[in-house]
Amino acid sequence: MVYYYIPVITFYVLLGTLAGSILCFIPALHIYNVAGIAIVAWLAARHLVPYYAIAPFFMSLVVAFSFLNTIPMTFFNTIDESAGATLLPSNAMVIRGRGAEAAILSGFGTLMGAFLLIALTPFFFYIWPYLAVIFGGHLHWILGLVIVHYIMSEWPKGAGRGKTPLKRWIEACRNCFAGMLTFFLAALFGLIFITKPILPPELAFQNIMPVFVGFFAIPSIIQSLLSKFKPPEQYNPKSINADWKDFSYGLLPGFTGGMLAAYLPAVTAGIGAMLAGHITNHRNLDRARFRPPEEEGEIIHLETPEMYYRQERNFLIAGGVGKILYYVGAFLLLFTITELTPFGTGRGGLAFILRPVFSAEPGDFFVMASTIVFSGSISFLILLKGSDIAADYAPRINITIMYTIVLIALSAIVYFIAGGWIGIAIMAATSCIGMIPVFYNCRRSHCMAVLLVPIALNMAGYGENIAKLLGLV
Amino acid sequence: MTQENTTPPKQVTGEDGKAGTYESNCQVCGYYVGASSVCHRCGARTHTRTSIRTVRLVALVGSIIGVILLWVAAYLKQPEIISIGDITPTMNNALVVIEGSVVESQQDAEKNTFRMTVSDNTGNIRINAFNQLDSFRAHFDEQLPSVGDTVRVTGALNISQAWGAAMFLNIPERVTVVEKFEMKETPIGDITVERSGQLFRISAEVADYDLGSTRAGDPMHRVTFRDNTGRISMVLWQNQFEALSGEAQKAFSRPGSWLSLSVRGSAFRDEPQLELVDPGDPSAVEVISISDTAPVTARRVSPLARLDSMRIADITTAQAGRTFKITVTVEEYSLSHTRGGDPMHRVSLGDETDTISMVIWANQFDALTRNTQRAFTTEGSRLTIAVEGDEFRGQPQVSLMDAFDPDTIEVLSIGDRR
Repeated sequence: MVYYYIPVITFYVLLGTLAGSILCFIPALHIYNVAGIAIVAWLAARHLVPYYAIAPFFMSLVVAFSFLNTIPMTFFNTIDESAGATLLPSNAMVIRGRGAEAAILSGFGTLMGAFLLIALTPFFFYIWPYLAVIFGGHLHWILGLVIVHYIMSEWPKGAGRGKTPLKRWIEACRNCFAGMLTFFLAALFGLIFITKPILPPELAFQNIMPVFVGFFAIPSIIQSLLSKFKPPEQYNPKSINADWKDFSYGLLPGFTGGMLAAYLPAVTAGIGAMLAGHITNHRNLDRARFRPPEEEGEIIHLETPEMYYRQERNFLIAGGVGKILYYVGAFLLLFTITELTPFGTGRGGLAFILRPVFSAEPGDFFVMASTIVFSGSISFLILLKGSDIAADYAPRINITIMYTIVLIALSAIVYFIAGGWIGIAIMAATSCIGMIPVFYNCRRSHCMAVLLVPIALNMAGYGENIAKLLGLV
Repeated sequence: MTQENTTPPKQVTGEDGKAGTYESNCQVCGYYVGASSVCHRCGARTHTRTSIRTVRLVALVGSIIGVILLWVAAYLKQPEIISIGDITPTMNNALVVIEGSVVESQQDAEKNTFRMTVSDNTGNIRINAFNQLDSFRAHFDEQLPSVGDTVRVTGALNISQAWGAAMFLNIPERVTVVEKFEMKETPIGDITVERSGQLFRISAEVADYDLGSTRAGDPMHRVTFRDNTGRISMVLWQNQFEALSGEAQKAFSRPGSWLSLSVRGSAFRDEPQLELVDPGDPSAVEVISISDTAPVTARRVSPLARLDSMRIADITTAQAGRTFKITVTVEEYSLSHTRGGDPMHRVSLGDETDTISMVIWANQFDALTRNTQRAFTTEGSRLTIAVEGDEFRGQPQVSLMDAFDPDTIEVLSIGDRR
């Protein structure tokens, strides 16, 4: 590395971190949408930004996103494809006025994940390449297993509602059916869309953007607009309710879920977290306890077991770890250039977006590792301050106006970047599919079948044959 | 802990004055809210709301109609025909049609892979069908697209900074042969400089054969063909000559033999010349008759004997592209790898004046004799090497002039440090 590169790279890392941090505050705007716009801008003026600064810039953008998208997710209920990793307990905590604590807990997990990524450097260079090569030829059936497990683990909810056994059964299985329907429709949509994209060729590198905006962003906005959800008054915590034991408990599921998401194509942090939870969580919940009456005749209160709160904390910490391993780790693996993996093992949206204009070189890994530490530390500080600000302002923001503006902005981005009215039509169709899990209470990650199924089939060599059956070839 | 929802729906009169069943549970989280205007659990408002039932219906119907409409749009969509030269990075993953002629085609039976390079005069693109050779052969009835054919290929562009643009095909239906190229039997007299690049079929007699050598000392086969309309020459490099069948090699090297060849017109110093299209394809080289004339051989001068000797201190970047010989000691050896994963041997060579570095690529290293390989990998070995001047990042370096010719390297001694 020539020394005069360092100030230039530092400048672009700072720029990426600040840009990522600011843009993350816009609810439902995904960093890959920002990355797509940034790439188009760079292609138009590539002489202005040096080539060697591209990867650090985009890395810092995605590092900042991993930390700071926690804030809109927590306070404004905006969902992306990895929301399942962190969202559930944070919603409950916002209702209790502890949104800032939820965001900081998740942020602590993300910071731990950032340092974990650096600590794993020997693992990435000496063990990971063997695993990647060994499993490389088996990914299609591994993805098949993920699909089967994922569908099967959507268990019946709402049992006991309804007057007749049939109604009770339908009520109980409604979310399972909704999950399967979402999965099927998303998979079919993906098979058609990936085999024969209908967007103009020059916009192809962003053709998945309207699909994801429709699956995740728009249903969240519609849900928030309809419910008129307004966060209650939030506290500004002086400390967080977690100790080192909680962090250590959260590390293993976070690492497992994050690495699964970083390596397996189309498996997001949400799906990874679900798999990791099933792999690592063997502890039973504490049995419910009744508080003894203090005086005779007092009503006995049921105590919420402490294990519930611990699992809430562990979930958030693990989600934070998993999220950075998924977003940042997947991109970092592009730089693990070894004899066995001469092109790295990078995956994920950012690696895909950058592939036509950037290729990793040996030695870049350490520039990227430094970028993660530098950008991650700054992002964490911004998260601490940002959580305080969000806790202050979230209850006072007019959610309807905010989401209306976001809806218009997202539609404009899709219109101008992703194919005009065709992009809007695609977004509308996927929004409908994305609303099924929202309004039938099943997992939203079922929408990821849009990539999971076509990728698994293409890896197995059957994708084009299915497309032939659909009359698309 | 969850609260049981045991309250039945209430029969009340709504704001519109109509009586009906109104749920008393929160429509967001399902918690019992009774008459409250705000859900105590999730904070959602419980009145002046769009019916969730309506939204559910929109979601269900819209998603099914959306998928059907997408299928119709995709079914009707005709992928755009684009020029290879117009491919930009933002087209990564675009489904497009490329129409052009096949300039190279390759079948790898061992890996069951078919590859071809298609050109449309604005650029070239590599089409790869990994593990699909059998299905391509079955689909095209053994008549796979070959050099000269005009093809239309529909596929998703795969663009990477490292490899450029390519297409990967999984089914043969993605390729259509628009026009099967049939080489026309052409008299030699009709092949002119202006027709450079065109493909012809000639039937001609070997008029002259000369085995020379390149500057690098490689064998070079010059053949002159004639028919009753004229004469024309062809140069065959050693790798092309080796790709010929034994019978064809005999015919080429014996004046008086007759061959039927698929050739491409070219020019050298304003004179028409021929290039053999695909020496490995038996249909491209048909031997009509082999002459009894004794084969021509040529005495070869060792490159080390004819090249000038240089001291390392005298090698500058100005010598880039020039060939000369150096007598050196292996000062340092290291093995690294290219981005493609191939081994790359770096050797630091020194004499009494200075040191210089040399990179030996995997294919070059594999072509060296065992003794030479040992010499290069053992520090302290002394060699005389025919090299070509080179430049890397503004510094002079050297490369092997011809690793495939053992006469370009003489091992003087093997070192004792590994």
